Amino acid sequence: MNNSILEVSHLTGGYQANKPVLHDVSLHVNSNEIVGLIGLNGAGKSTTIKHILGLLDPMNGEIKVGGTTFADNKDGYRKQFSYIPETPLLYDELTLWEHLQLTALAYELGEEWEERAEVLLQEFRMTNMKKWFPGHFSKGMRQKVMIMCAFLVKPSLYIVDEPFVGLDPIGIQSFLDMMLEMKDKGAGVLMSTHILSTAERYCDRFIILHDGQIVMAGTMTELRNQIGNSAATLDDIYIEATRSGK
Amino acid sequence: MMQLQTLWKERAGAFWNIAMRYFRLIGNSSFLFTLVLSLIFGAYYYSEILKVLPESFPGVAVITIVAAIVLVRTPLRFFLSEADLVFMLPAENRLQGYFRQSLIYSFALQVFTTVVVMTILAPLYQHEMAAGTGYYVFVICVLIVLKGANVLMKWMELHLPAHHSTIVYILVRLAVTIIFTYLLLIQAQWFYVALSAVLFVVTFFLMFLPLQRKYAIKWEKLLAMDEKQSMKFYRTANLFTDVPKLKQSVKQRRLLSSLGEKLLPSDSVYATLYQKAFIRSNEYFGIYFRLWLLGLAVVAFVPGLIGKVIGTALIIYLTATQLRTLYPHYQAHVMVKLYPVSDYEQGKAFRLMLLRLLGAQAVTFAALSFLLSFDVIVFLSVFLAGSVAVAVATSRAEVVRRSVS
Repeated sequence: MNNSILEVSHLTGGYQANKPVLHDVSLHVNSNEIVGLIGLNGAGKSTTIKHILGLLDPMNGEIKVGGTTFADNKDGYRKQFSYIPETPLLYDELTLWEHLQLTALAYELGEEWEERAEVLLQEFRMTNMKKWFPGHFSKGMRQKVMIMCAFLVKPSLYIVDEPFVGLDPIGIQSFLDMMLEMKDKGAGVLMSTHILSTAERYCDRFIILHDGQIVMAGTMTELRNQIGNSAATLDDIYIEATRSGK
Repeated sequence: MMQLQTLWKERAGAFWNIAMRYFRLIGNSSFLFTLVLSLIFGAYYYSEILKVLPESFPGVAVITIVAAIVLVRTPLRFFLSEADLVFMLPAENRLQGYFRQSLIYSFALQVFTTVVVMTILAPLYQHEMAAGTGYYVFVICVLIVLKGANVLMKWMELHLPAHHSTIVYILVRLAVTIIFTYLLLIQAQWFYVALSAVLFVVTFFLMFLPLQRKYAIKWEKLLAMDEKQSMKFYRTANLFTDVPKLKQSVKQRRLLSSLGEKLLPSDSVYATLYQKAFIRSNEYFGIYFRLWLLGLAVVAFVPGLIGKVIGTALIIYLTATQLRTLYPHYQAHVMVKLYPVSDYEQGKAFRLMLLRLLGAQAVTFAALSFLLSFDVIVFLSVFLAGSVAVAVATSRAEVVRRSVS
């Protein structure tokens, strides 16, 4: 586990001391790996992600990105990953291009970011919308802006929360292709999603979260072995896991 | 090109641009007239009450408590946007200037409130302590310093993780502020004042300052705080004009809800909706309840019949003005528009509810005036004033006119 980029160990956390949302969660993401974080609404996926982002402090346990904790080195910690939220969060008063500019500014990217931004705009078919204000775009278009900003950074870790909802099929394909490309170049991805069939095809490993606890984890083969059904889909496994986890 | 250094200025400027537009609208409305009238009314009876205040009235204690509340209650304004949760996180350390400007801005605004409140309390203090104006100005200056310290302490407090309770910190802040303010106001020996100042400083450095060092900025808390304040502002502006940015906040209020179901009409679509909206959404109930309490206080403490009569009518009319935004509450709701219900029924439902709410005020004001004086004339006058105010405020013309304006 020396090449793990994200390392969450024994994390207990949430908003209220007497009512933690997460109980003793341990997971890791290696480089060259896409890990699917699967769970029902309210299972604790978003809380896990908030802890990783450093928006919440752990009540117990530790989170390391690239070997450092948030407390050790705040900026250094956060510059190693980019985050795509579940609902696109954009500034009403900035154009699409200015969002990319702001990302470059926040992550202190080198001069060559503009070139990369042009390539991304082309890939997501938004070159002619550069000067538009994305605050009023459709959900899918806004999601594309978030995705482009995340890929512009080229971090070693991507934290992605439900990226597919609202995206058009070509957008989904572009996103998945780029994710695979970044993975091949050494990045790690933690992706939370409900679209299990897509997750099954693209993720290398899965973590199934239920009521704030990890009930199952492993590759497809490992999961299938755990429930003793070698032909099971991720949907089958998921339903089985949350039922027995009850 | 965007720059982190100018970010704060741009955002504060953008907010004030919008705010000024609303202030102009508020200035043009008739509400201002009602407000000025209430102010004159209040000022006159304030001085009257001071004349008849009994010797045993704990004036300094009251001043201390009011001042402490003003000093400790420290809402901070950051002009953050939800998108900052994605874009600004990696730049957190480079945003120290941004947060410093926010604190200075919040401090400046609250110095204004502190000075206004302390000026209002000045006659009471002169009445109690017979101290020179010079000394009182000195007190205000020290309180401004305390305000600054409270702004910083609140900022440090905001660094606490979500699962740590802030209540202990708020109580400690309140305690040291009260002790210091009280000793200052009663002109205690300088030794005790100095001692309490030392206590304050020690608390600041040992209890609060470490929080900022130990924990990171809690973006979600700051966002929630910002949201709350801008909604408060927009809600006020919404009394005068349509505010598109206003988001609805909803509270369950179980006990009140069941009470509302019994006491308010709920026999038609709009009657039900208005009753639910009044109790659960935004601040309607809070505004109503506070004005009611204020009215009871006016009836109880304002000497003289004329004062009680004017006060009663004024409070009831003010309540009606404040509740007017409830009428178009469902205007933007598509489903309600599709129901087979006429506009007439909507107006009727609203007026019926207003009638009950304002009627309850009128009756309780009159009852209280009778209980305190056992004088039928007083009772009848207050009741008549209340009834007239209710009748005017709930008349069909009035309700329709308001919904149009």
